[in-house]
Amino acid sequence: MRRHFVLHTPCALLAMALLAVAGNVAADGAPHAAADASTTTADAPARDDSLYRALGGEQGVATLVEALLQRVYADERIAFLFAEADRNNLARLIREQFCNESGGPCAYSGRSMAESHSGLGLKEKEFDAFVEDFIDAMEDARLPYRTQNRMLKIFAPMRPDILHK
Amino acid sequence: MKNYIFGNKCIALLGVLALLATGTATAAGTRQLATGGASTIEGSAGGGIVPWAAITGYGTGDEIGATAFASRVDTGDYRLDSQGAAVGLFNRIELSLARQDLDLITLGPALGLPGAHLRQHVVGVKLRLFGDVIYTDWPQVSLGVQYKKNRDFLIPSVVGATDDSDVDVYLSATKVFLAGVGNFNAFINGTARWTRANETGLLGFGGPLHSGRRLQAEISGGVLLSRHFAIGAEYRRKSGNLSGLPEDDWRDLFIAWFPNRHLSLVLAYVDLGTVATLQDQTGWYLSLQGAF
Repeated sequence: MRRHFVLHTPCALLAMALLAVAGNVAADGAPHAAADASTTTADAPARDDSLYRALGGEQGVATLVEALLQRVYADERIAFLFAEADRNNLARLIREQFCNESGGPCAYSGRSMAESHSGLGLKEKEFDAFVEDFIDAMEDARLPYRTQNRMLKIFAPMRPDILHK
Repeated sequence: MKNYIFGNKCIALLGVLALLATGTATAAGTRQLATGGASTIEGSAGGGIVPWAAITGYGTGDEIGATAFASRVDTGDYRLDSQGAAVGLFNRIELSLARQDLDLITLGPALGLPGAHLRQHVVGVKLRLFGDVIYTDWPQVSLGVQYKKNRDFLIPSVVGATDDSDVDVYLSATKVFLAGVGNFNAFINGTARWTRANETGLLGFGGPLHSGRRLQAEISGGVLLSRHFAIGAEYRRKSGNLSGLPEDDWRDLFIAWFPNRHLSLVLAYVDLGTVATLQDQTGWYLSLQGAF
């Protein structure tokens, strides 16, 4: 009986690990497929727009971006980084990016993340402060926790393009 | 290792130093909630019994973070109290101190030693080698060392332990999978520990069955149910070196609460198996951590 329980826990953990990896791989496919779709011709498979719809479509993305910029411009840790940016233009570009990355029917017309952060020399604490504001903004927009996680999963890997540039 | 290093005064002093050190940085650091983990009974950042690759506290590469903790495991026959403090420097190096006090509630009187305790001090250093628990595709990997000094070596020596102090060396890999399980964030941690400790060192080090270090696997994992709550499990392989005192692997199921960057609370149901002849040691674990 005891021995059985001993085996039980690592087994459950292993199963969890496999689930996590499987979930990661499965979810990983979607944004890449979406990115490919946006650059290929009309006969490409339809984009997975489930995240875009979970965000609330065009209106939801607009609400989220407004909440994000309110957070960021009020955050003394990072507000100075945005002091010279045109807020309306910034909002438009972030709306495009969120829409595009979440599978929505938009093209992103801005520069790449690496280009747009070039010369800022962003520190890790500034990146993490932005991520915190982003999560708070998703809370402000009343997005469910699991939708928040899907957004973080898309943007977290962009960190190397943003930091220390 | 001098005893005063582990007195209340020293741990308080470390706490004050940590506060002063972090006074120049953003209070409690900027890393995301729960990424510093909790404090293990040995003082290193992790779960309760398995260390993580994470550096304690919430300091990013530009910041210093610090934590202090107190925990208790109670199985009825045994009660282990641990307290300690740790500093995380620039999300690269973790320095930790912990002291443990095991109350031999049942065994003491049985041995004619009512009120007997086994105490141990642990000094830890952990170095993050590469990776980030959240932001890199590969795990965060850290190398750690725990110097342990048994303070009550009489009982361990009588049952055959050869040394009252030793060093555990461990390698940990920790990874958070964002939206990993049903779009909940999940984490997995694996630790390989090279050790010759008996019951983590509370019964000394080495013995008649084996004198050198052996590699032990430890694993933990869980799911964040929300930004503030995590549930999970831990498993720690153990092989004692004392003849006549076989020891079991340890395991637990936990729920952790991270209300903010300054506080965390972990509650666990633990199964320690047979500990020093007493069978079926199950009970509760509670750990409180403050971060600065």
